[in-house]
Amino acid sequence: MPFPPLLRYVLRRLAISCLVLLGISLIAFSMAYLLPSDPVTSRYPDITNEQRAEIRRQMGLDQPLPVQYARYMASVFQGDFGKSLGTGNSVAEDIRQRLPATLELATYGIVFGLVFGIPLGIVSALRRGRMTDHLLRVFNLGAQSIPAFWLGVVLIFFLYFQWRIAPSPIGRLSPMFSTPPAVTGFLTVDGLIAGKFDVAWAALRQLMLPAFVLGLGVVSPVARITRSAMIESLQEDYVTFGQALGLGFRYVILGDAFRGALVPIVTTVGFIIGNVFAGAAIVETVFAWPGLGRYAVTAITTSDMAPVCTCILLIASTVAITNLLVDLSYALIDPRIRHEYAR
Amino acid sequence: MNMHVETSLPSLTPAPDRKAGWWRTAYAGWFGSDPLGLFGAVMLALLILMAVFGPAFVTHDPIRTTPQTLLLPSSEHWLGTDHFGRDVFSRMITSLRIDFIVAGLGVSGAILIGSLLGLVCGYVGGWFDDLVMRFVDIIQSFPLLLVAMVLVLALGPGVTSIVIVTVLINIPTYARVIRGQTLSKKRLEYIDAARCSGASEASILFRHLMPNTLSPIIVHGSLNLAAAVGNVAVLSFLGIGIRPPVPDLGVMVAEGTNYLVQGAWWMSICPGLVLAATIFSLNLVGDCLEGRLDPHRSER
Repeated sequence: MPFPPLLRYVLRRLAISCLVLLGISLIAFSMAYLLPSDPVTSRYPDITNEQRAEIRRQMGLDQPLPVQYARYMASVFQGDFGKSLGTGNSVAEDIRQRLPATLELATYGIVFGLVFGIPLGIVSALRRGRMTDHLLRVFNLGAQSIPAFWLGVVLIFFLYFQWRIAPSPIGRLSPMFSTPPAVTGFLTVDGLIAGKFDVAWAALRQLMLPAFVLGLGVVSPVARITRSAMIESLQEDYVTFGQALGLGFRYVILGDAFRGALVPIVTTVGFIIGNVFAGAAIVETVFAWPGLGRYAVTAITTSDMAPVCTCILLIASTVAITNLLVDLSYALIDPRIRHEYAR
Repeated sequence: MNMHVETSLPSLTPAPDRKAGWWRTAYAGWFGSDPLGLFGAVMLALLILMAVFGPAFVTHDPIRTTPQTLLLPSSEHWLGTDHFGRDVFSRMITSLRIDFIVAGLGVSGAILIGSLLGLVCGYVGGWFDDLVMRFVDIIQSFPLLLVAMVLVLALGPGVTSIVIVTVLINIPTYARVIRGQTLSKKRLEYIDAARCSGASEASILFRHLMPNTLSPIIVHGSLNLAAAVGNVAVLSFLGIGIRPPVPDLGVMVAEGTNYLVQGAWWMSICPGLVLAATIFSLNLVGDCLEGRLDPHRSER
């Protein structure tokens, strides 16, 4: 009983998220068993059967699977994700080094996508059926159709190799500059904080192309959903009412209509965040960006299990938490939903 | 009392104009007078023709290596040669066929299994429906590319596992769509009529219900095929999809990136252009069909 409905909804949603996270950890754990290669044999190729049994015992591989899973989860909660065979470091350390690079890239990419996608969608909705709308539709379909990896290659070829406008695609900062002291982990911000504007500018130049390629994948889904949500909310009575009152564009379109359209847009953005991480794997590979995506791809291609499991856990938890936040934000964004739960 | 038959309903589609040519009727009927849809369909038809008949006319072996490496495009090699002296144009045409086959098989498999699953879920309902749909929810909330990468890792790289993975990641779309269709159709009168006339459950499901749930599949199919072609290429580009020496557009772009420094632009730019054109044409066709089937969008 005594929980108010909104709180009950939040608690139920939290419980579902916990279940999903549990399921994900099981999947990540069982990945190690789906693989054809045996971890002991691949690490120590020429040993006798007795030695193999001894190593398996030391590694705990002779225990029943539920025990192994419990041990794995216990070490995960202590921040121990195992060791990467590729880099020789602990996975936790590898990820600590690479996470800021991916976060910076993803942030700029998403911001770029939203800054262009939302206005494009609003304009399409307002000019529905006109030439502008058709042109934007072609642009959206085009942006959606260009493979990101190829676009990256084309941009590098023309802007770097041919015209020398862009800096060379060698990661976050050219070796000519020393990395500013880490505060936020974002080189563009850290550079400003340290007062080294040339470093911040150089980091921004390195970021431009990869963030553009990543962001272009965000523009078209955002523009699409903004268009359809705006078309719907423009037909609402409160928008007509606002227009009848003679309120201006800023109030009616950007205030009322856009606010009414926000729920589907936030849902889509939440969904996109997961895709941005997948897209980062591609963009980071093309632009030699030292981030998580490239780390995951390298681990996958070399069957390096500890990083693969950790990356699955990390990305999947990010997606699950994003979905949770998106669901919870509905009540915040839309007073009608809040009202429904308040009853 | 006589049964009243409503005859004065306004016709939803204008009567075909006899004077207009057959092509105009077809254009209005199939593409909803959407020039972009027609453009996409023509482009797609050309690409499919190229994939089907191209390899028979190709003059060079797409896999055999020759000493003439990194040649510029010429009358002999239309798009130049790659780092192993293979003709880029021949490889590109062969890749296009392979990518169409892999993505096509994958999407068809997903349509088959997903539709069946959706049909049964929608018709039977209950705990089975709940279980399958929650599973679909969870799968769909993850980025497909990530799911695909993990599955390929589990199955081992190769053409077969790419097909299987394409099937698996696309099943949820069709399961969901067909389930929704089934739910909306199973209470209709013709189903009751079939049941009253003694049709078996299987007959109701497959003879009466199924044919009426299939129309959204063609929309999702073409959009899905676009995404599948892209996904196959991305996986191959990252080195976990189709592996060399089997030609694939993603592999070709990946190989070409190493030779951009030497100015060999034709190696990666040309295959990527064909890849983009393929995805673009499928998206155009899918978008046009979506507009025709979805009443919310038809009034553009």
